[in-house]
Amino acid sequence: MVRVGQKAAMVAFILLASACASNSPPPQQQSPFPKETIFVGVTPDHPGFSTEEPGTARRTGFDVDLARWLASRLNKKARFVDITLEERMEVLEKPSSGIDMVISTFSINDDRRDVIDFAGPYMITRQGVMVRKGDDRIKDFESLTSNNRNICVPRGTTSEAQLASFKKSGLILTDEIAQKNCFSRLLDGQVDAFSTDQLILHGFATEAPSKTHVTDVSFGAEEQYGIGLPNNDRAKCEVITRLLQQFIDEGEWEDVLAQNLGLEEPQNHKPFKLDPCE
Amino acid sequence: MPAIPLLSPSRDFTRNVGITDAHEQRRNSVMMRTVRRGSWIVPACAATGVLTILLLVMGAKGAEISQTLSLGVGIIGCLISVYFQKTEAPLPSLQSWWYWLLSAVPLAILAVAVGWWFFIHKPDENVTDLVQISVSNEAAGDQSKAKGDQPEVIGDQSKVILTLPLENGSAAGFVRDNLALTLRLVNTKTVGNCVTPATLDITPKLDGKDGDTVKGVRSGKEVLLPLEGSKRQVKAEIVVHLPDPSCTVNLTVSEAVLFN
Repeated sequence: MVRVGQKAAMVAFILLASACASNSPPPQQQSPFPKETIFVGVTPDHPGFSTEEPGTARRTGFDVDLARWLASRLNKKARFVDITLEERMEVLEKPSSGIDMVISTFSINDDRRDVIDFAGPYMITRQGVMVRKGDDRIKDFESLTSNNRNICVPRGTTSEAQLASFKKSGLILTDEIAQKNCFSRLLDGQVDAFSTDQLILHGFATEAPSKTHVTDVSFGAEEQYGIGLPNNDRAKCEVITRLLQQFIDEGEWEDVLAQNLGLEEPQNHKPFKLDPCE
Repeated sequence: MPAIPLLSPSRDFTRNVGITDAHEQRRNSVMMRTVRRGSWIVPACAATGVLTILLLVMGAKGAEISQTLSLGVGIIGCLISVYFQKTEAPLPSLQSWWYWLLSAVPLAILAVAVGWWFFIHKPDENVTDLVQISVSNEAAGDQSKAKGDQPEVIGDQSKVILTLPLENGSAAGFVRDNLALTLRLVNTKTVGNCVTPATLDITPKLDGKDGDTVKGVRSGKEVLLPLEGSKRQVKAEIVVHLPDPSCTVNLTVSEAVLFN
């Protein structure tokens, strides 16, 4: 009889437990960044965003300062790892890379979201065009994509994707592994123009202001820079998104931008709302 | 708490086996029971595992089914444990009214539950394939319907009309209290951050009357629309808000389920 009572009580307990399970509080979770050091993937050749001075290993730029600010808020040390533009996705897809996040003028788009996560956006820009000073042949989008213009774009970027469809209609695309290579090709007269995000072009323009000119031509979808994170890591995304919101709301965004790029109208590039984490 | 009497006589294995050594006799008895139990426990566990996985995959609807099933399973489990209890202890005598009472009450509850499930409860109806999508272009004064596998390309601030005909329509006879609707946006280009930050404002139009607008619905997220006794036609006007004016998307119905 006792055994029957015990079984009945057990059945009742299981039924009650299953009914109450959805209301029980979630267990205490571990920090999404358990290590003392955060490894941040950056490209070392983006003036204004991320550069490393040869010999000194001193890093400067908006993305570098943002990474340092995030690390300080997380009470961690930031260690920078140089990557190329094409490697930005790859290092986040492979856990063995050890990279916690990528901060590198990394445009958020829906295709990339299928493979990795993004926190952001923290900066908004559009596609722009840089030419040699005195060259006024490119005045609008039509004159950019006709007359067999030779345009240099960084390989594996959204800049390349935005112009790829015009290759058949009078445009020659030259792709390069790094932005600085396109900049060199433009200065050397090997291409007619260098096209990438307007903000990146403004950064390069500061390196040779007497030789280059960023035109008023802009086109394509908005480029919204986000912080790349490993896929399906909602906890990391939520922590970084919350900190990014503070970075933008507390005035750090304007200060860091002014130190590194000195734009005339910085508000045009400021995001007013961050995306939800997936 | 009063003791629960045992309802059926159980066999005393130790007396029927006829083995002289008591220790050997007890061990054989335990082995026999283990073998018998093992014969049904393994498939039962496998079936339970499969059912659990199926319910988990079904998400919120699985939770509803599991809650309903738990009543019947609980009652049957209690009855099995009482009727088929094997014990070596002598059985207490059982008064007949106890027998009838303890048998009738759970069976009555079970009968009510089964009756409710089959005669009153209306199962969910998946009407995803019956929903018609048309992009409303009020400025041009026309409506274009999505055709086949080629949904309309939608820009920022576009209005989309979803229609689910009930009266004389393909969904006739599927009248329920609510519609669970999951819409999906797909970027038509390889560039642009369009889908995740996009939001939808959904206004149900029930038999011609506007319902409450549900604002800020994200792609892939389920929204529940009360149908409030709508009998003729369920429509929903959807306003698409895209973060970048250069974004264009396709809108499709991932799932539309009528339920009570």
